[in-house]
Amino acid sequence: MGTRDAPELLPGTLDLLILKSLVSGPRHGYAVAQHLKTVSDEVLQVGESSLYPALQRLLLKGWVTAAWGASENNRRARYYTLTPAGRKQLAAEQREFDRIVLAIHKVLKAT
Amino acid sequence: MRELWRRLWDLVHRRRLDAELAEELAFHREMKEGELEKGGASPADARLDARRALGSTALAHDHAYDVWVPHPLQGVGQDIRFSFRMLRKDRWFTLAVVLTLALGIGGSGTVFAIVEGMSLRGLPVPQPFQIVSIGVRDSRGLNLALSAPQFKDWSRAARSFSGIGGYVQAGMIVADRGEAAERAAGAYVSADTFSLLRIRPILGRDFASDDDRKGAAPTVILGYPLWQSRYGGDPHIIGRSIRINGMSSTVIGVMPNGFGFPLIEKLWQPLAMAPTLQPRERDARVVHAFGRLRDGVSRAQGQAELDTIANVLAREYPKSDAGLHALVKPFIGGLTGFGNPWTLALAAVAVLLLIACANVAGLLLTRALRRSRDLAVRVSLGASAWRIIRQLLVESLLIGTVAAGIGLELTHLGLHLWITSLPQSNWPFWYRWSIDGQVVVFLTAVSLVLALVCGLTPALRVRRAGADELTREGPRSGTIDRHANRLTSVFLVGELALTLVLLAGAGLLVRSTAHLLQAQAIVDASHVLLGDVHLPAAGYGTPAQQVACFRDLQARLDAQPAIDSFSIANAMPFYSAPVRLVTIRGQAPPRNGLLPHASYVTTGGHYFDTLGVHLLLGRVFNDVDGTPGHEAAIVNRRFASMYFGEADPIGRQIRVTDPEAARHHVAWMTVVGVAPDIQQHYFEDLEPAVYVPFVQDPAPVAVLLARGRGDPETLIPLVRDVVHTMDPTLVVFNQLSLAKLRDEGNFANQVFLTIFGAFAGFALLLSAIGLYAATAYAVTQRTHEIGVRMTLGARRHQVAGLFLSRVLRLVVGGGAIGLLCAIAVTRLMRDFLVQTSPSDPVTLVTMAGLLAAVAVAATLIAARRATRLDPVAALRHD
Repeated sequence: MGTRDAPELLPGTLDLLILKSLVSGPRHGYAVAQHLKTVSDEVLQVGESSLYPALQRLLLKGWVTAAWGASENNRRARYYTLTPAGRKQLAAEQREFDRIVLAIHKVLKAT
Repeated sequence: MRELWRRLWDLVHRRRLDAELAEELAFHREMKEGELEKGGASPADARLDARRALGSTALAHDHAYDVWVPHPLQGVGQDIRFSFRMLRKDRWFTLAVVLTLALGIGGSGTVFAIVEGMSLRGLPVPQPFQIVSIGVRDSRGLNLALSAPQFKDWSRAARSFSGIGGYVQAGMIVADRGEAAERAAGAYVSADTFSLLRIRPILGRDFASDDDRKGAAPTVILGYPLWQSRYGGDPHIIGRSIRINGMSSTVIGVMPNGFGFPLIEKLWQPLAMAPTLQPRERDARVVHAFGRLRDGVSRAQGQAELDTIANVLAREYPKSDAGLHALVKPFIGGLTGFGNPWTLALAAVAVLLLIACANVAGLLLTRALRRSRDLAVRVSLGASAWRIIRQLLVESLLIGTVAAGIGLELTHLGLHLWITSLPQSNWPFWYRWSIDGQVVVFLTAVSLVLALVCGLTPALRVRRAGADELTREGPRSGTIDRHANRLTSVFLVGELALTLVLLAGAGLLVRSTAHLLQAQAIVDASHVLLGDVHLPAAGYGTPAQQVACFRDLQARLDAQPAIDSFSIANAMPFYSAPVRLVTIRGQAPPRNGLLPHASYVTTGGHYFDTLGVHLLLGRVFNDVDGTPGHEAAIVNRRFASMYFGEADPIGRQIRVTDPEAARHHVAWMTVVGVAPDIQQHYFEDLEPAVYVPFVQDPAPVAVLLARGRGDPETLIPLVRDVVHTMDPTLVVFNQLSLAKLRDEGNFANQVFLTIFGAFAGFALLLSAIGLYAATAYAVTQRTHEIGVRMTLGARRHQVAGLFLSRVLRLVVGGGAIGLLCAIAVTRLMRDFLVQTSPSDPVTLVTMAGLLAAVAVAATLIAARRATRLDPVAALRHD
């Protein structure tokens, strides 16, 4: 069973996806990956060599905060929570994403 | 901004960041394992699969880490720690490099701080660099002061200046009822002088234009030191009347401490009171002018405007003003021409720094190559060239920082030494030495440049060698060695050449000093007492009265049994004398080039006798000499050889003129004798001189020279009392022995001798170290080869010769370049070398020999190890 990274995503999309997966509440990194995988019907499989750098980036920008807590199997895990700034960013990125997808759609439809 | 802070914070807490990341990744992996196990895999397989699925944990860690710390700076802390370890390991190497740089930095810092304190800061007044000195250059190329009318015209017409002020310096005698008179340096200044400088009196008021008018009530402003020393800082001094040069004057102000414009002056009176001022003579050039340029006006603009005004005046007064050009210069002219010894000292500093730099770069290069295997391993393990260069740079910056710290301390020490060794004297009022911002900036810049240049050379060298070259070849490799040897040779040749230049400069100064002392030795200075007498205008206004007074004084002192010989003169030997233009009858003045000139000394009848000097030719003055129709002169040997050549000077006729005085008729004088060369100016070469009888050109001011038998200072009360008995209003000032005056004048010579001597010695030491290190390195490199040679029967001296021949080639190359440079550079020392040609072959050859000897010695000491090698051990040497 080979694991591939998410198929070529548009730049910045991973950030968007992570932010989105945090809307329903704090999750740790593994849960984020799981969530993306399940919701996307196993299409988006995020390897940790892109997941964790992305999480660090979001931390740095102040869009998420991190806190150590107990996981479902009682291990110490780092939980990421969306900040208000992150929420705003998510909204903006989603609008932008919709715009681009719509644009791409139009290009593909046109002959 | 917040992001930056967070990055910094995390950089500091890197360890924690690492641990958290590691833990997070471990957790992730565990979860993955659990998932796979649930899917039915065995625990071992699950772990393996999990790993495979995750890819390299380390890679993930690194990628996540990259987000935090910008890539090119990762591991700088590690570099620093590593550098510390390496430097500590090579203790002696580090010590040598740090000391070399520290001495270089300290030496240059000291000289820079001295020069900065003397001339780079400008006057201690607001906007000092707006203040400029203003003079004229005449058609003969002489720089002159302004005449009083010209000064008036210029200051009225010039628009580029906030104002133009003028001054006349003069010794002033301060006397009060019931207290000993005192002579102080003073100046007659135009009324706006202090307001132009933007310095206000701390007490009383400034001069008003009404004070600076012919016939105004005499006023005086005191300098702080005089106010303190003579009047005990009396706060009620304003309005008090004191006698200055016999004239009752009202004190109207006191200037702040540390103010002595234009040079060392301690009291000031209005310009109109200057006795030498001739308000209507356009030929009498006595007013020294200065101006404050308006905001945004450059010196060149000011000069252009004054030139325009000068042209208008030249048309109006063709007789006096034709051909005059304005000359606007920085007020403190310290560092202009290249002949200035301080400029040369700065240049010597730069040369020394270059040598230090070459040496350290050479040492670092040698060391980098010694470490080439270590570097090669690092390269093959994946270190980028940038990482290695960075590490070398970090190392040299570390060395530079430590050296800069020591260098700063050395600068402190050097400046302290300088200040404490300065003779007690009157220094220009703007001299102020301290380690200020400019000095610190200079030191930092020098240290940084040194560290970077020293570090970059080997670093780039290593980079050029390239990773594969480094990996393929061990320390005994050929290519790197050949490149490195060539580079080291270039460093060494440059070093040797520069060292020879410094040695030549120092050698010339040693020789010049020897000549100076020899020239001074013809004067019997140890038994002569000096003193000054000023005759007041009242009672001594005419030349006849002055002559009569000094004749009387001569007779009275001649009658003293304790005094063997007495004479007056207008100037003190060894110190300074007026300089006059010379015309020789029957000889056309040179078209171009220097006008014939000579120091001009008026003397009493026993002048040469008092100094213990015997004439070379002719006779001394008799009683008839100097009377109308019998004008006579004695010239010195230099004068005779410069202007008469081989011809007999006795009986020739000459005339001297003062370019700054009004041009009236001057009589021809007959040369009656030739004196040996007596030094007349301190820190200058022996110049042509003309001695004339005092009666021929009397003045109300004279230097008294009295020769006794023991310590001349025991004559002080005797001379003072004789003068006082003759006229109780007369006072003798500045009594000191001629020997003391001579030694004071020699101070400048000593300073430069010390500076250049120390620099040359240091440079020589550095070169020796450089050669030693290079040879020692070559010996290590060629140990194997030496073993082969010795096994094949090479003798010890042949082995040593192997290394010596390379060094000799370097010495010959460096020596040749050095000699050429030295000849080009030492010409700049011409002005202060005494009786020594700047390209003196004896000095140059001696110094080249010294350099060669030291170089050979350093090489032989280093090569000795090679000759003592055990051939068998050497063969096995890797």
